[in-house]
Amino acid sequence: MLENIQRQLASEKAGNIDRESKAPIALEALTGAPVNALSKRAAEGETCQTNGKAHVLTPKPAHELPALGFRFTARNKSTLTATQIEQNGETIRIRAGAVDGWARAVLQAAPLEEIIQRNLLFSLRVCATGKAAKFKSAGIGFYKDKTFHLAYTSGRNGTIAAGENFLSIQPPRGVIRRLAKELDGKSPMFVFLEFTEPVEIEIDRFKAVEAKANSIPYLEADGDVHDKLRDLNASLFLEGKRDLLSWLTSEAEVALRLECFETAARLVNILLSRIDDAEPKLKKRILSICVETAFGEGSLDELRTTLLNHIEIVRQDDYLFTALSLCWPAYADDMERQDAVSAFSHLPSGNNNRAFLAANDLFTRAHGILSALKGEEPEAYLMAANFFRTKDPAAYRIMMNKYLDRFGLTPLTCVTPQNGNVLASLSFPVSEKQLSGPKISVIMATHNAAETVGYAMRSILDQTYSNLELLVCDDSSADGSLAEVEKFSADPRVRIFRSKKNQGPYNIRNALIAGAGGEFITFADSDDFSHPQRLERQIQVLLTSDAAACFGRWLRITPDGRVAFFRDHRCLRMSVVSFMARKSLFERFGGYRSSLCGADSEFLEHVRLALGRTEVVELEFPLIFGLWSTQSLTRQAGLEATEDGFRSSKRRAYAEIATRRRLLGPELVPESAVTGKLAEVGLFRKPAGVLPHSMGI
Amino acid sequence: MKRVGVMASYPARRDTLIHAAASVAAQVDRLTIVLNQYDEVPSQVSQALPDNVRFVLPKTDLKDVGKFSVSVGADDLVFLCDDDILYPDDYCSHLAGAWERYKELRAVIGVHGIIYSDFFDGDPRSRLVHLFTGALEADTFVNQLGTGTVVCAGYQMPPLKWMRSSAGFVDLRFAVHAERNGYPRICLNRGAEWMRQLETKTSLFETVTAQWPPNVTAEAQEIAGFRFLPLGAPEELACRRGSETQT
Repeated sequence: MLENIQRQLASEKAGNIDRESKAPIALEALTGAPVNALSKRAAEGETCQTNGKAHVLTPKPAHELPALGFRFTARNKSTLTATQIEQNGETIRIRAGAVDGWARAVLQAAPLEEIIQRNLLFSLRVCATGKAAKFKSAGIGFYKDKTFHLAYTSGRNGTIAAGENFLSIQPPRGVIRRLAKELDGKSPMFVFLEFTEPVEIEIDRFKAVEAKANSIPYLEADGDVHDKLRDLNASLFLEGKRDLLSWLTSEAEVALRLECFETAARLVNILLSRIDDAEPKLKKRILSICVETAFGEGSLDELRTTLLNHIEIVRQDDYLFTALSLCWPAYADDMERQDAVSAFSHLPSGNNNRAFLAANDLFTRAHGILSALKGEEPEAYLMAANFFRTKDPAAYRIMMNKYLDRFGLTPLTCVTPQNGNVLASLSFPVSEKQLSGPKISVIMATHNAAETVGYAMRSILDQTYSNLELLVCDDSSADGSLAEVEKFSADPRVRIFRSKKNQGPYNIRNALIAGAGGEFITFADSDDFSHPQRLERQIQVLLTSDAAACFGRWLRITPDGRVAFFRDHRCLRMSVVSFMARKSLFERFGGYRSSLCGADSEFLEHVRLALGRTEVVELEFPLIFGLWSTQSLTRQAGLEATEDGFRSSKRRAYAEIATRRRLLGPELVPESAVTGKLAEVGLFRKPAGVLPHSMGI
Repeated sequence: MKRVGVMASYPARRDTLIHAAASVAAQVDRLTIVLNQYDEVPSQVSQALPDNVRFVLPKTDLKDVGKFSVSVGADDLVFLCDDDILYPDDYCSHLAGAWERYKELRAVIGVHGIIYSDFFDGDPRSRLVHLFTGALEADTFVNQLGTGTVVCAGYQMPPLKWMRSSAGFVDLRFAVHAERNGYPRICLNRGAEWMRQLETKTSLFETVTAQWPPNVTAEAQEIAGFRFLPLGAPEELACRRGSETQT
């Protein structure tokens, strides 16, 4: 068998590294309990220990499992010349010299369908035979097109000491589900260990164990942030003693990605109290987290002080420098303004500080803006549109259309900025070609939106996709919104409802989903304008792919036509309201929470966590023009979510507890914890029911 | 303040109990031992321990909750002890001094401390554990203290009713009580092996790596995470609080 390995290595040295067409080398009786031996042992009634609980293995004929295989590969063949691999009974010994790039031990585990059916996890014992060996990662992967692909990675930057080091690799079910769509069920999966430093190790006791289903959702989820959290939680015991500051920094970064601003803010305070102990690279990470949390909380004065205290780091980093420029106080006079412009216009890298210049309306005044931006990202056209907004409406429209053209979207025929609400003036050519397919129900709740609900409804009814119904519910408006809605009552596609009592948009959505006649459901706000191709684009994705749901993006536009650019200097934002899925998906996930705001984000993230990243598709083009006015829910005092990243304390509190419940599951964070928090911050709205509206009643 | 010790034990720990109790009894005014599963106080135990040791035979097996069944005065300084730890000669004076030093913070003081991940999912690895047998350079705020190495005032003790259903996880329940009542938990600095665990059938490693059932992990959410820790070092906070009080 060793000869086989040596032949394999010789082949790799000849240039075939990691590109083998042959199956991995089979090593018989490699370990004490190889995968193919499990069946035999299980048939004999043996139990395996996992997480302290005994599980009886399901007896399976041995031939259903593959022969065990092992490979040791590296990016650079010179590494392999210094590598010795020995097999001694159940143990493999590897001694690898200088590792250029990476080196990887790959052990054949089980076919994909076997992992799915039996919910297998893999464990192995690794120990250093020389000095402690570091490994970069461990996980599972597969061969496709003669190349090894990593499918799931865990245990990053671990250490292998002498003695007992058991690695347990349990691929999350979310990852396995994704692989099942990409690969044949019979595809063999492999466990790997990846090294970036010389190693002298032994591997043995490689075995597969049927794992108990995990009740903690994030442990089974498919996503980078979930991988990161899994690694963090598995490493505090050891890493907390070795380098607590780094561990805490990583935890704060994860908290931010999960929108747990309250946790992140607390962690930032701890990190800042110890920042002097950090290396420059870690300082940068800490300050970056500080920037995100400060903008989220709106504590810009404190942020400015913090950044100035670490100005030597800030001066070396574009991101931190931009943040400092954005939290600089408003100019007192022209002289100070000139000083600030001079100080902040250029980043440490020498590039323009676009966010600063745009925030101060300086960018569009810069000489040669359009030529400078030629060929760059489409947002340049919207910067130009903002520039022309007050000067030349025709040029404004041209710039907007150039932007839409980048996404292949129908151009505007008319738009009038600076004239009331710009969205009311939008018009597109009437499409000659009407597309049809399964019916889509578009649900809209309206509350005191008499001035906007008309164009919002019209934009849905003028879609290029014809088979739709529009369900509109007035939520006890006091401004004549219902009368505006009634103007569309002659259109057979429009169904009008009214709330029994004011109850917020999400209770209305739940009530209307139940009564919707469409196979697909989506939503629209009563002050937004949907691009005429919105439904066409979305349904196309759902009908032609495996996606279970999709959503698009939107531009936020002020009533006077200014396209809102956010702190990341981007304007195309995720539009949760555009979420579209089959009606059955809403029934499966239980609909929206009874909150005044934010329930659509919670619902989307819940679905994404459960279904995985490939089943919920984000369409990265503008499907909606969203009104960005002080009347918008996202701008109302106490409920704000603004361009600079600020989230009102109510939103932050809701996001925090909703995220915890989603990640940790109802056993650890019960429903009452979320509803209690909603009630505590005043966001809870009791469902009141809806009634069909008859004219004249 | 009167120093009182409380401890719970059961027959399988009879040998270690004598050593553990003797090491504490010499340092307190009174030590009460709750003897679970005993019909009477074994003479071997009673004879081996000094007169300031009292015994309680509960009607039911209270397990580790037993030490919370002992009545103490609000002004007593209560030392919560385990029956498998050998307490050093300066143990009570060291802890009492720390309790006095952090009096302004209304802190509960201990030697075995745990800080959980802010997204604690029940995995024992997602905890930072300052083992009582190991060294700790500086006094540190923690989420939870091991109740075999704790000192607190009598008024800081949780009622038995609160603790009754927490057998097997009394440390957590005690921490939740402290959190709700605003008693920060401080793990004291010490050298390695200042304290020793006596040999029992259950190793410290097993205790530390034991996995909780979901309902217990759910309870931990109330205290788990660095986000629950007061900012700054205990020393400087106590100074700050002290000067505030003076002014």
